[in-house]
Amino acid sequence: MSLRSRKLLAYGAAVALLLAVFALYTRPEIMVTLADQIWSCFQ
Amino acid sequence: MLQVLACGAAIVTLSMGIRHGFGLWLQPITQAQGWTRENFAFAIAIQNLAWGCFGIFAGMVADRFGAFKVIIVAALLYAAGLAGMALSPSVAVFTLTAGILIGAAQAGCTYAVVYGIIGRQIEPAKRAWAMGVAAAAGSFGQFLMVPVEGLLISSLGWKEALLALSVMVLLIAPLAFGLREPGFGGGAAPKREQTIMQALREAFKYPSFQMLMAGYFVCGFQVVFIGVHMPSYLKDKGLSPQVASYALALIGLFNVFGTYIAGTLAQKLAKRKILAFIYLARSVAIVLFLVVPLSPLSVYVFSAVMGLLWLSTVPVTSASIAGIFGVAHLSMLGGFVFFSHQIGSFLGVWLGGLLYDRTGSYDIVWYISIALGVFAALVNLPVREAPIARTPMPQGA
Repeated sequence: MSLRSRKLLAYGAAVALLLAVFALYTRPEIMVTLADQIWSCFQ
Repeated sequence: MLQVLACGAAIVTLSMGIRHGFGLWLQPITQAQGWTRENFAFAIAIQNLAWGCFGIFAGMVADRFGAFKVIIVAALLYAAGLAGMALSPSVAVFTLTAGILIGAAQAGCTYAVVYGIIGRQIEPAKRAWAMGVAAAAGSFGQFLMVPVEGLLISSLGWKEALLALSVMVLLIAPLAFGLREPGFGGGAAPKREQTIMQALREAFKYPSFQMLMAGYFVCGFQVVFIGVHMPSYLKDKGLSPQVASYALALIGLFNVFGTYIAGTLAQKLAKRKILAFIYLARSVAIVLFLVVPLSPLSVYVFSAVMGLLWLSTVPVTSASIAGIFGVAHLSMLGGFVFFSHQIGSFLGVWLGGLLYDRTGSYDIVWYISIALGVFAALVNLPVREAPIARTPMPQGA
């Protein structure tokens, strides 16, 4: 595998990981929990 | 190089990530213990100041005896602090554990100490890039751990979640074995060109060091003001809590890209210009955010832009220090610059709350943030990045 391919693979894996974590934030139950907890700090 | 980078990045991911979700414990701990928000907030404020103060000494010890030992001690303190947060019977003990212990732990296992190793072990041609990778790892940790800690609290309960984190943070100890440096073995420190006092005198007399410290102060002020007070600001403006959650998620996501890009650019371009651009761009982003009618879309765009600019100053500032003063005292000098960041952070949070209470809005603090961004851009432009010229010291000095 060439260096370029390995770099592309590494960048692809990093982006996939980031999107997977971002997806955590979009799940309704986590959103509600997080939003409630964030909100409670400022009430 | 790969081992240093991988272990350093993993350590920063854990150490930065775990602390980032501490706000999620405010409600469960204060409710369960019958404490006030001020009690909790005071402990976290102490933690930030302790992180800054101990950072200087952790950096000195790491530069003198090797970062490996400092990181091991920091991992143990972190675990003890998290367990102490869970088991504290009183506000005083909570302040000691969540504040002092965890602050000291962070001083020993976050950027300043890990950057010292990266600076010494990675060739200058790749140093800024490597610092960008480590900063991106820390940013990723912050992004990852907020929902993870939210899930832990929901599924285990707040106390058990803290105990689980205290076990998790011990992973830093085995990772530190990947950061043992040749030359620091057997208690002997490598010979250095300058003593600590000589290095400090040189740095504090050098205007560029003061300029970098001033810029980092502004970084701390802006980032922590926005991170802490933006949800409250959005609430005042009638936006839903979900918008605040998404905003913090976007800041976290784009922060990862921003730190990596900044480190990569710092390898090729003048660091002072990158820093000036970051600070100026923050001011422009804040102005546009305040001028454009507020909507979820404007919040998301602002969050993404601020995320790109969030911790992107970290690798660039550290690489500048390494470039000017060399790497022998990098952790200590990084600790001093970071102390300035923490003073800015403290003022950002405190002034945000104080001026909101006095005036009923965040307007003045937003304006201060804009002005400080312009100031930081201007003071970073004249920074001299070239290695400092030293007269050779006499033998035995």
